[in-house]
Amino acid sequence: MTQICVENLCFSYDGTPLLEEVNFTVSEPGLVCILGPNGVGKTTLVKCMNRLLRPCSGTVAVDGQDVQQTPLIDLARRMAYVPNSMLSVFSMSVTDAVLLGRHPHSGWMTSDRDLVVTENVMRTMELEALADRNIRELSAGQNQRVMIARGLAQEPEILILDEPTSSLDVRYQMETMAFLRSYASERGIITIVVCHDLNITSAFADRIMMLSGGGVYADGPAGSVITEDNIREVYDVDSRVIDVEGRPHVILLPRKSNRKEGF
Amino acid sequence: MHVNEQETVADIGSLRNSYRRRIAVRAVFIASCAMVCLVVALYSATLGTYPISAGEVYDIIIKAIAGVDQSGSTAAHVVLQLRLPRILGAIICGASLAICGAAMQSMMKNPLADPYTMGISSGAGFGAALAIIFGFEIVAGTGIVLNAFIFAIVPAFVILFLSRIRKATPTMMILCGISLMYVFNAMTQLFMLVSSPDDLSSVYTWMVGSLSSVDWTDLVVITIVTVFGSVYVQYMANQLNLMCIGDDSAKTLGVNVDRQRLVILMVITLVAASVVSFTGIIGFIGLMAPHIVRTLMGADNRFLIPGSAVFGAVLLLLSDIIARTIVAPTMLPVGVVTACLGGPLFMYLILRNSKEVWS
Repeated sequence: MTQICVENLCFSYDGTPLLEEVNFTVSEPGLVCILGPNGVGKTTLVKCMNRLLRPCSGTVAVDGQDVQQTPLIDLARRMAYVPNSMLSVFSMSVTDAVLLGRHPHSGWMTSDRDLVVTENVMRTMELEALADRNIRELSAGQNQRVMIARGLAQEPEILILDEPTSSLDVRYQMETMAFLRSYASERGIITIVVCHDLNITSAFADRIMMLSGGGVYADGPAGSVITEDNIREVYDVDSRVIDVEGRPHVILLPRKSNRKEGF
Repeated sequence: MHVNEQETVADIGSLRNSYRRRIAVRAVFIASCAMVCLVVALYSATLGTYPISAGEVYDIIIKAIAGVDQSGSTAAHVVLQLRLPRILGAIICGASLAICGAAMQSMMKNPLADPYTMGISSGAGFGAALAIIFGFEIVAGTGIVLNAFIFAIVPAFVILFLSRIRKATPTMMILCGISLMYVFNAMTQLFMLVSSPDDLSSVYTWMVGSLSSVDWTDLVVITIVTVFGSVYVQYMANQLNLMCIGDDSAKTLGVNVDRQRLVILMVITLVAASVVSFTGIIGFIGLMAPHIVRTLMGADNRFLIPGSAVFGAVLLLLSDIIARTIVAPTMLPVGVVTACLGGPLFMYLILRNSKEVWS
């Protein structure tokens, strides 16, 4: 079973420390969500995990192998990354964009298996009707679904997504998160998602990591992480957490007058 | 949305079929361009002051390939020694400039990039001006060619050196190329100020680009470099596709973008510099051919590169025919024709195409 292990990870931009001594291990397949306020380093953390950034110190290891020492192509066969959005200077059909996800596995020519996998993930992400459309003509939400399909086409053991639902409408947000959870458990893969919506995360995550102050502030199932105290500490927001179908649901409360107003 | 791995293969034939069909269409396009190229080349060999029919040209070429001695025939001399090197030169140079342009645009994620983006042309121009005006030759007896070549590859090596200090992003590469271009151009212009009118005219002629001086030995060199370069670029086509969608995406799909971009830059520079050093600065083919092919058959580099190659060859061949015949017996430099013909044609294609192919 795949395991990803982050040890003593530190990262700073131009000398300003952002992440300090981050430690965690993910060894269970499932949907792991990373939460935290803006600028806390969620994206930086996942970029250190997939070698897009080099940490100042500390290691990220997949099955004991340091990712910084792993050739990019070997890493790409095991780990996929779905960035927040994709821009292409030149036109490209949706099919071609999803097919790019097959690059780590395929040879110079596109094989039948590549096309079968592509067709499957396009159906999964409901992209068949858009197959021949130019990706530059898509809406932000459609573009995001293309990106997720590309990540799935990579058939990774570890799938990392950076705010994959930020441009999606509520229906697709719910469906995407539900899908990612079931996909992770059916395939037995680790799916790590950077999230921003507390309730969507709480409703679907198998495990939530809440970042604050350069490290992991809380880590565990939704019930233990999404609490009124944690939300006040991390986001500086008052809330009431109620139980909806066994999952915590956050109701944000307006600030009380004894707290300082505005920014 | 659900995971369903149970789909039968027959069920999912549609995407596969449409994908295979599109590939077939592209292959047909490339093949027909190649055929057109062959026909135009044969026709081009019949043009000129000495009248030779297409049938004769065909006979002469077949005999030459078979190794029959034709030294007594004037027609054979005209075709084999005067016209054929020029025609083949147009094909090879057109193809290699177009390949360099296609690769450069994809790699730099920039539709304005062409083989000369890195300052290759101004470097070559500087080297040529040194040889023409001052008679300065880096290696004695090699004339303009080696001078032009060496100065053409200077910008690429400056970028290679700078990449050790900081990461060579496309923007950094282009800005670096532009600043070197200004330096080279300024010095070339300074030389031209102090040169004699005859030298000045030679420098200008060289800078417009011409195929008239290409001979069989030049052809061998250009062909070898072009074949190696295009095979490499074609091999890298999938990686070029990934470079178009951004460095983060490309890296997480297994491409070492920073290193690969430098390697491809070096290859393109060597190919473009060797063409330029023999022909001078033939403009526009490298910018235009890939764009036209992209509007016709999409941006997938696996097909864009061979497509641009055959299309670039046809374009330069046609331009050369016009350059030779429009004010015959005077021959225009082919670079004038590519620019005069290419500009309006390019603009027409951009306006005609309602769908934007690039941003």
